[in-house]
Amino acid sequence: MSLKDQSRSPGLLSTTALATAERAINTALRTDPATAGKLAVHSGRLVAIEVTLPPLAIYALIVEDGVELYHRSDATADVAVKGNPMDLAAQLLDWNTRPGVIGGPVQITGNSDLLQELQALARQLHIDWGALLEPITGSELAQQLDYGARQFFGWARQAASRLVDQLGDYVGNESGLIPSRREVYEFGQDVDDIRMDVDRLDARIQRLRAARSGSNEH
Amino acid sequence: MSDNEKVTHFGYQQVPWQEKQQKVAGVFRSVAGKYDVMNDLISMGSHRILKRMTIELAGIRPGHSVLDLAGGTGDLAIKFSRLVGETGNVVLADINDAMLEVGRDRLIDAGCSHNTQVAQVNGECLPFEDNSFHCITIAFGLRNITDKDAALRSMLRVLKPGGRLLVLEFSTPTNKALAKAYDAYSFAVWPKLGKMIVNDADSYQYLAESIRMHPDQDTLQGMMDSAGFARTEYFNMLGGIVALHRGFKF
Repeated sequence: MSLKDQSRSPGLLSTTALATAERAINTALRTDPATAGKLAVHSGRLVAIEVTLPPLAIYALIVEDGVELYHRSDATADVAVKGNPMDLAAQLLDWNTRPGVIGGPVQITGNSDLLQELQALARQLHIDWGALLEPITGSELAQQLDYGARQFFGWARQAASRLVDQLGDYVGNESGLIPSRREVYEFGQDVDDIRMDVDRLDARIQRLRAARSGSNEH
Repeated sequence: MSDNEKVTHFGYQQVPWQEKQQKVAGVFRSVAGKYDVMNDLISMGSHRILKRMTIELAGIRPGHSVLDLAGGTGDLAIKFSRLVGETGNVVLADINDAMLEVGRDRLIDAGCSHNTQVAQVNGECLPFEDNSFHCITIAFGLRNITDKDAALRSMLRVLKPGGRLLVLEFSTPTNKALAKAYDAYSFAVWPKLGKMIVNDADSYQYLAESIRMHPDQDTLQGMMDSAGFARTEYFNMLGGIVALHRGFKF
């Protein structure tokens, strides 16, 4: 990190947001001790996540009881990922990808095995909403809410997946914003044809020039 | 003037120079058990965010040595312990045995005992070798030290060249309306909360008064410059209610 970066005043709001995110992640992990235990194996590892738009860096330090999130770190990250927020989310949370809509390129540097293991843990995370809500609502209502939450998140995941599919179809086929694979292939063929035509024309011009200079010499 | 004749402030009172340390010790002995609960209440949780911001500016890396001075209940030391990793070292230091006892237990509970030490020290004459630490932090502690200039010189001595000092402390609000609201809140509410939670209104009356007697942002920066720190600067937080000062040893 440069000295210029270090002299930037830390933002109260962004620090509060990061603290809230850290609390949410750690609360979720506490309801799933199996996943938390597997994550704790990587204690001490640092993951850097760089979002390109808006420009934002988050450093996640894995600790024995969860993760700690920071906006800056002078330590070298074990693995760094860089991309736009939707592409990063698709990569890290294994969302349904659709080129042109979601799931574009993500730049990964460092220990990619660690990243794959963390992705697997994120997919396995099983939040026990009942355990979270029981102290507030009592066990019976908590169980109902847990069931409702699972139904809702299952539906939301399917709906998001369908939305990505439909958006992909619309963008790819109906709006014409994204070319189909065949259109890209045909465009490539056309470019090749033009290139060969230009080469042939260039050769003909060279031949005519040579013939003309030969007749002038006679 | 001899030390026996010198006076200093303890809140708004003038007390003999030698007595302030004992009086401050009494305050912290009284509140140690519920110090964190009280901090959460009077700051409405914001002290945790301010400490996070301090950690982000500390530039701690694995392998570093860190001194958390006046570290009390150890919330910064726990974070530093995780950041410095297996090869680093954190010293949680405080002059007050009751606060250190709470801090030591929290470090053990958090699984941080492998790379932390606990030391009862006087900040004015730190018992560490020259050039020992990459970073020193003192959060809400400098205000209570009798001879702040001596403490700053002592911190400079034990910092490694290139190391940094971070002072997180109550300061002077930059906005007059905010200053009035803050005065009203701190003098009216803090002693009442102290009475309710720890049965000690006087300690929180002292807290409110001691903040007003503490040097403002520019004065403290000047004191750091005079002690020999380089590239000193400060960041106002919560409109200057709290300021984070930083200086380097080169």
